[in-house]
Amino acid sequence: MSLGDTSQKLIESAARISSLPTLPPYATTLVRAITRESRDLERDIQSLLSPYRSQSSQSQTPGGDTQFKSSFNPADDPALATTLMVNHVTLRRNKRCLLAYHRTRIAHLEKSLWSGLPLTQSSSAPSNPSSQESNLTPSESLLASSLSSLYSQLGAQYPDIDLLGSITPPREVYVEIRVLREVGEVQTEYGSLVLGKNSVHFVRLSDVEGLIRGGVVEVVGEGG
Amino acid sequence: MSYYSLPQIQTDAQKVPCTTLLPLPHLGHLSGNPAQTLEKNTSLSLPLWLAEMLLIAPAPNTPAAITMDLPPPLQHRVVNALKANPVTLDLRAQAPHFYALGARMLELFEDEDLVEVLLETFRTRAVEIADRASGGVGGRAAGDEGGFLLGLEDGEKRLWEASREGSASVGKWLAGLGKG
Repeated sequence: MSLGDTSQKLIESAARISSLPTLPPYATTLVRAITRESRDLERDIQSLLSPYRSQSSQSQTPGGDTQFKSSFNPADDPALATTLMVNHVTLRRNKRCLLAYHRTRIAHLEKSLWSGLPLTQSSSAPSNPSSQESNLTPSESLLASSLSSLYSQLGAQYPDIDLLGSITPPREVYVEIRVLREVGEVQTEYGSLVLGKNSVHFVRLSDVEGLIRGGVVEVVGEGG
Repeated sequence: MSYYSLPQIQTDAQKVPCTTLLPLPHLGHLSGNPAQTLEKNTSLSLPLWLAEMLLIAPAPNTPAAITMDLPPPLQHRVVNALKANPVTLDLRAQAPHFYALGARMLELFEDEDLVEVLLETFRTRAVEIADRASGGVGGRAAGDEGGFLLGLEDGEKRLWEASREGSASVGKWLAGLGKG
């Protein structure tokens, strides 16, 4: 296993994310392996440099970190300098791969939220929100919930516009829908509507747009 | 050059052949022998992100640790094949990010001939891609003769998808015009 192979695997899995409809589970094992490799590299750098470190020139920075002044001169030992370079560059590479992986996940999360798509597999029972978000890490769930509250705050400023709605103008005013999951009674402009599971209704598109996006009902036909 | 761009990160991961110019006592693991010194004049292939930095001399008046050659996808054999016929070569098998690799390598090497070959290859293949995406001229089927589409490298694949989506959208729009 040569250096940077693990981060390479992480990047390959990140590249797959964008083509998936829902976010895959967080690559905990890979991320841990990369952080472990990075810590080892850092330890190597410190131990390789320790003979050159003079205790007397040790100084305290305002931040409280102990900074060591090193007497190491790259010209004296090009081989050691190269080793340090390899370790350093690998550390930087690992950092770049980790950041890119997380950024790709966040971008996917934002896109799903903005288009109102379910964050993870919607096949799981809707009554069990914990299984719905199982592919998200705790911090990603936190991000998702803060983002959606931000979106709804933004939406509240423009009550006339459905910000998360589709930007394609509808072709028909009425649609025929089939209810995939039990919804119950829904209030519409012209009275209430009882959406029982597997029932088919002919309704105004604007009344059920949110339900269609949430995958609760499906459009089976457009009426004229 | 974006720090977070996945294609760029993948381009940097492609291996290039290198030769060591110094004995490197701590770096045996790069050639698969962690316990041993990496001897002078060892040939090994390193990812571009690592090789690129090792080309820089660690200090003034000292040699760099390694020298680097062009990776196999950009060597004479492939370049000659591209000169002969850019369309038939399976670029994906050479390198998934072929042009990006070329661009990165040409930041480090000077090779006007290679620049010309890569440009000409892209021009010829882009026309071929656009032609096939629009269904082909002269009634030629949009099928994949000779596995050309499977041999597209990453950027070309995006180009193919964009052209196909483009001509499909135009087709849809034209069909909709009649209906009002």
